[in-house]
Amino acid sequence: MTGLADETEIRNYLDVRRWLEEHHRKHLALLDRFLLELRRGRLKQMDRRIVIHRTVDFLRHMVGSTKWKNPAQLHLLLRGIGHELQKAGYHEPSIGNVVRRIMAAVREEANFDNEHTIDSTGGRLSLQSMLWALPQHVKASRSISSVRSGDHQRQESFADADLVSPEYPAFYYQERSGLKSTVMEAMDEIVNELEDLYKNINEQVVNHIHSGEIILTSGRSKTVELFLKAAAAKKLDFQVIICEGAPGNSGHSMAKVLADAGLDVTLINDSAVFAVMARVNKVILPAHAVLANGSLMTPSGGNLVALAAKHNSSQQRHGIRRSAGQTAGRY
Amino acid sequence: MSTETKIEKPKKEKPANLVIPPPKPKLSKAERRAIQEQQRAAKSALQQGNQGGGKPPTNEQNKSASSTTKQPKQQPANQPADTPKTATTRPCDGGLVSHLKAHQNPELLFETGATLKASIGVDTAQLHPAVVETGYRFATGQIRGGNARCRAMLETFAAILPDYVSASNPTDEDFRQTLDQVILKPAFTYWTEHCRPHSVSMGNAFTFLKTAVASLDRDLDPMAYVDKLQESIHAYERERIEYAMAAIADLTCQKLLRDRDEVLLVYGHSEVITKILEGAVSTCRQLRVILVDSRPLLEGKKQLEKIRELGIPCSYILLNAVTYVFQDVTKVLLGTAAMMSDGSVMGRVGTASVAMAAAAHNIPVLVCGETYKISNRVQLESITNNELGDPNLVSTDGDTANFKRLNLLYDLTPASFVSGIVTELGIVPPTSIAVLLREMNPQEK
Repeated sequence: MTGLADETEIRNYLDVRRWLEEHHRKHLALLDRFLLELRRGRLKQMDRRIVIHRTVDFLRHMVGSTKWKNPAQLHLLLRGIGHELQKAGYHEPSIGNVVRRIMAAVREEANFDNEHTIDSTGGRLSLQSMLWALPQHVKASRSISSVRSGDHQRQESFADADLVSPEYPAFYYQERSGLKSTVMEAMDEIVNELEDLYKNINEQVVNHIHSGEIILTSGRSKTVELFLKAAAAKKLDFQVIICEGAPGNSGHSMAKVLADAGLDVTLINDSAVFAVMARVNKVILPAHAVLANGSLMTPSGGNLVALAAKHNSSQQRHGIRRSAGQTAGRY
Repeated sequence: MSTETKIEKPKKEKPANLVIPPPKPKLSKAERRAIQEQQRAAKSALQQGNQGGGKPPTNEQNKSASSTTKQPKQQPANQPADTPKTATTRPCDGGLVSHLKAHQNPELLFETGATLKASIGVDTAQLHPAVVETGYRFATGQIRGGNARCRAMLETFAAILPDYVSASNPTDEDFRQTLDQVILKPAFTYWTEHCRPHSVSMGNAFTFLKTAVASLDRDLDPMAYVDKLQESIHAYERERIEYAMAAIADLTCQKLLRDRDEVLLVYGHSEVITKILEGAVSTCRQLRVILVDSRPLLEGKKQLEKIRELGIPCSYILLNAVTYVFQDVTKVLLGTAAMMSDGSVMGRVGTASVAMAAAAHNIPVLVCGETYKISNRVQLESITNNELGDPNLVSTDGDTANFKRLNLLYDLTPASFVSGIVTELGIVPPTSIAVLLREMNPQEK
């Protein structure tokens, strides 16, 4: 029996809510509270690491103290949670990335012990299997080889009309003792990466900022702020022009912070960005998210800055934050 | 870099027989100002002595000063350093805009009446009170916009002319000189240098005025001069501003908007755009307006009132949100402060961003400008010739050694973003502005 008609088990990713309600009331309450916070925009912090921390803590709790039995169940649980989180927190792509990364860790662990039964062409570690949220095999066949072959359906979200009841390979339904600890390790890894986040970016500052340059940025971003402060700390002599970012006017506080740190700062209105662009050498924009086609989600107004920079042929640098699970984009 | 790095020079040894003058006494601000005024008064007395009745040099200087919008280098007496520190805000980022005149706080200006006389060689007591009042309105921003300022200037001149007739001596002096030296030039100089740098529209109108004065017949009754000049002023206003606006509105509505479903995007406040929308209400089949506004002036609010009066469904957004609305927009209509001879358009700051975003979305951008705003200048980018506004509007934090606020008032939209320019002479591509310039001024080379 492959765990389908059993009430104590999760049937599919939409079934997670029912399963939680029946077996883990408190966790459901926790989930609902988190979703509410997301919907109400409480987690729209300037420092997005807080969001990641919250998500990881939440998942830790969910994974750690619920009674899932095997990798398939855990995978479905994560997928269900991810689906709900994404619906509520679509403005925060990094949450989905965290969940996907944990799911990948689960899959990796599940595939790991079975490598002698699979062709060792690295199917489990290929880019395809890492990126996609679901196993790629097609419904009918349970054969091992179908893990890597078959119609590879690209999963962009956690929702998929066809594969509501995905069927995992048989070994996904075996209980695994080390799975929980592996997953916890994966979560710790995510958090640890955040620690070194700024250090890694700031190490490269000398390659990009040189003395005598005029840098333009828009609004307030911790990544950009630390980047520029690192440049100033290296005794580079440059000017910063900051667009205020109406109506939130986050640029005002950014200007203050940078001026206090000793940088040479000029504050302008967003409307003046085209006018001053002729004098600007480089533009640094903060990234809210980097999308798969290379597009950048930035705070409002970034589009105009980027267009103006392109017209004046300034070089653009994207300040990238390594959101958990997402490889850093181009620098 | 704006800040100069201080290099420690090794101290030289003083030669034995060097006479060291006593250290200068530290003067208070008032004392230093008094000394400055004395020096300036002496200088201006010298200048006025030299320039007795010489019309041609002053004419040329004014012509070149008015046909190009502003050249601060030609008036070295008005560098920010010469005016009292209390009247100017701290000059902005030296590296970027040091060539532009720093913004002057209007309230402080009008308190220090004595300094005005010293700095520009004209006593406000000798200016007509209407001129001072108009100047005050310019400086405080009560009158804003190319058309409004030009109209205010022309109407002020038309109003004050009769007041000079009885005062002057009609038989001895050439009244034309009086017109020039006593009425027109001092007022214009006062407005430009003390209240607010003049716009291209004002400059062109003033050039016209001087030409009109020069072309008046000799030996006329002063009252006749006044009548003729008033007539010229009114005619100019009527033809180049009012009629032009009406013609532009008519052209736009008939050729571009007739019987169409339109979602128009407009930016800030513009008189000619308002006129177009008045006409568009009846000529469009369906009309909706998206109004884009921006800090710090938020002029769109004025425009919003007028659009609401017309009863047109309207959305109001800030500049940063403009890329979100472009999927619905059919046309972008922009007003302008000046049009350069290469087709680039000088407008309120932010116009270029709107035009750029529209061009990126392949939406036609129509700039609506009267021909009297055409300037024969060629400007490559927005900073070379611009105006600085009050930095306190950007942020109320004060300037410090390494923090400056920059408030630019205009920006330059390159010709490549503009699909067409609507003038009273027709809808032309931006590159044809030079042709229009030649058409209008055949005597200019």
